[in-house]
Amino acid sequence: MGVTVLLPTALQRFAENKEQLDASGESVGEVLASVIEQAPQLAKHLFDAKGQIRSFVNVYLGDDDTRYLQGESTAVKDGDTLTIVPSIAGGE
Amino acid sequence: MASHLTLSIPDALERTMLEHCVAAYPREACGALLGALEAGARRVEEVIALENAAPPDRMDRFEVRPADMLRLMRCERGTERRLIGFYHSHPDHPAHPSATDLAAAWPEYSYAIVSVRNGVVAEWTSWRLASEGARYDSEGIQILG
Repeated sequence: MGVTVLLPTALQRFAENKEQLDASGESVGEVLASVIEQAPQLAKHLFDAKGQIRSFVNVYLGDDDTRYLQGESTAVKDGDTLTIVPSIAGGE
Repeated sequence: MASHLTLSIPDALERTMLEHCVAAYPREACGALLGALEAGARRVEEVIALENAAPPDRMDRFEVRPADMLRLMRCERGTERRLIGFYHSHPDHPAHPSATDLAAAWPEYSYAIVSVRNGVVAEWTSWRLASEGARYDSEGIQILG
């Protein structure tokens, strides 16, 4: 069954204009690695130079921000949905 | 300026956006723009005012709460309407993207910036991140009567 990963409008063109990807893995980190295998152009938007999830990227498991769970180690199971939520910020 | 980029917005929705920015002054206001997403021209069909989640002592910042962003993304699922961009105000500063804006920008979205001076709208502009990501391209604005 796998894990569904929902992409924001901002990133869909880096994934062949798909709104969602079917991925696999037992943790958030493994699922994101599966996503990058399918859509390598997403890597620079999701990860920083050290391979960590960028601070402007929030990964939700259902309604929960995985930053407040176990981050990339957060366990996922078949049928779960991860949503990539971009941080929107700025100012003068 | 990449002149092929255009953001069209009905005048009533423009008024909604600008009135929110004036009401928030001297803090920054922020909100979402939903509508039809196309490569060049795009049309705003809904304006949603959002709470600025930046710390209260940061009058020169705006942040959209990630949970609010998640809700917006869920709104667009299964519909033709897309989250096409965001607006925010620059109180007593030009309607030009700041370094902070550029650092936080995402591809594809339109970023409308409203300059509010002394509580009055001075001008507003719209921008889109250039494909290489190092700068903004200006978008033409079309007000629909």
